[in-house]
Amino acid sequence: MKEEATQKKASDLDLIGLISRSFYLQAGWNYEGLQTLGFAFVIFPFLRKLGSRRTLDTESAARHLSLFNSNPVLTSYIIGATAKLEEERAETGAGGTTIETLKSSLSVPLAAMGDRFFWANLRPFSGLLGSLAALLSLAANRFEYAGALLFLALYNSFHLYYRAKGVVDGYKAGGEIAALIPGLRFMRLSWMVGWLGAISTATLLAGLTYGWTNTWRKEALLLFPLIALGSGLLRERFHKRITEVAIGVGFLGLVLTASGVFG
Amino acid sequence: MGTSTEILLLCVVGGFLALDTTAAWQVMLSQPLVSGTIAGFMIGLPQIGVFIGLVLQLLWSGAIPVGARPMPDAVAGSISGVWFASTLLKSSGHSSLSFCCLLGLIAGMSIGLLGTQTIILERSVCRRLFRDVMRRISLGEAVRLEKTILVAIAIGFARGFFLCLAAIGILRVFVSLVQGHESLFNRDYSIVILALEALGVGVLISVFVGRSRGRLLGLVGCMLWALVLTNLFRR
Repeated sequence: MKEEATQKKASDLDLIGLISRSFYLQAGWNYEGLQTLGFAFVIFPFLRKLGSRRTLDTESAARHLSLFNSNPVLTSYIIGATAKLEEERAETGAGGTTIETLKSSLSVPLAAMGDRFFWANLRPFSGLLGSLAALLSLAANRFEYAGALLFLALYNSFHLYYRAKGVVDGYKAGGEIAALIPGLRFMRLSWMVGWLGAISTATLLAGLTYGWTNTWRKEALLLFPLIALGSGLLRERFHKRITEVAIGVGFLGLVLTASGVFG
Repeated sequence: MGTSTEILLLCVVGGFLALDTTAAWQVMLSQPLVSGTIAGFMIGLPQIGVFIGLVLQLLWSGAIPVGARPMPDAVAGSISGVWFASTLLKSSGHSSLSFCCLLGLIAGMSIGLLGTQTIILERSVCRRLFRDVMRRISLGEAVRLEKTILVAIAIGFARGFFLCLAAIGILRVFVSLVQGHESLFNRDYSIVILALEALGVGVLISVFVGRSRGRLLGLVGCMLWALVLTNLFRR
């Protein structure tokens, strides 16, 4: 019995399997089950190993195909903890409700933290530093790939680290995963990246203003920061429909320049 | 105007990068700075790719994929925008860079916006897959999720591929139309590009500064300091 229980413990290979499948968490994202198809896809091989079945049984399906949505990176914590609880359930035969409760109760706080850090701060910040590098590469007329590479390296150093760490830490913590959340410090990280982003935006604003006044006209010294700061401060009005606004500005500018008003 | 093989390759890369938007990986290959750069290298004009990708990256920095919110299709937008600008530039004998870049940007933003609808369509098709899985489970049938996920990934690839193909197909017509108006190439459109870049920086200001007065003061202070430094180096 003890030997059988030991065999059921997840090996490193199982955890690597969970991590690699977690990259497909959002495959099959839909308006009815949200990420649920992806979540079931991630956890299914693990359940198969525990239950020695090639297909999902009705009970497991009900547990893992119920509505689920969270931040795709930090869901790795839930994946790890779920794997551990499924393992315990396979040993004791109880705990199905605990798994469902854990998934639904953790998805919201992890979504709030992850979306704020990865989507609202880290991604724009990586894009901003990538854009700065891209501008420098354009000015130097070489290393054009530098901006894209810097963006990918910066974002993925956090992204890949937390994907892997989430599954491992979640598996170690199991049912105690909720105790891990206050220690994640994503709020502080978001605050720091936000400040670094504000400083880098200032550098980009200054660099572009300087570039435009050099290559085009001195009016750009006033015009560029004015438009940037103005549209930035009118965030509610502008940024919900920034693409439409930019298309309008581009098209209007094109018509006015072509008709000789500018230029 | 770009060979059929080149266009087909761009569309295949478009399909592959579109997977990164939602269906797989999410390692940011689908961001305009990356996809624009890749398209630029494939076409042979990396600087056009980097520039268009960069402006689209700034403009779409504030688009956050929270919950069910559909995003502009950055992959199709940047690939078709880079293709359009490069094709115009090659056909005009590299005479008007600002005009070609501006048209590439307008085309890229428009395709990105239209692409949002295809993302909604993809999600609706995936809902059918989900319902099918649930139906089979309720009937007690065996369900192989690997197959379902593979189909979902194939749908994501097909969406990216066909959107790029349709976008380039439409833009080919515009290339012929624009080529007939030589006078359009002789003007300087830099001021419009300046305005678009400034709007992009405005998005970043709203993302990182928001309503924080402290950060706004910090931003203005840093900007002035950077301007002073750059002017000192200039002298």
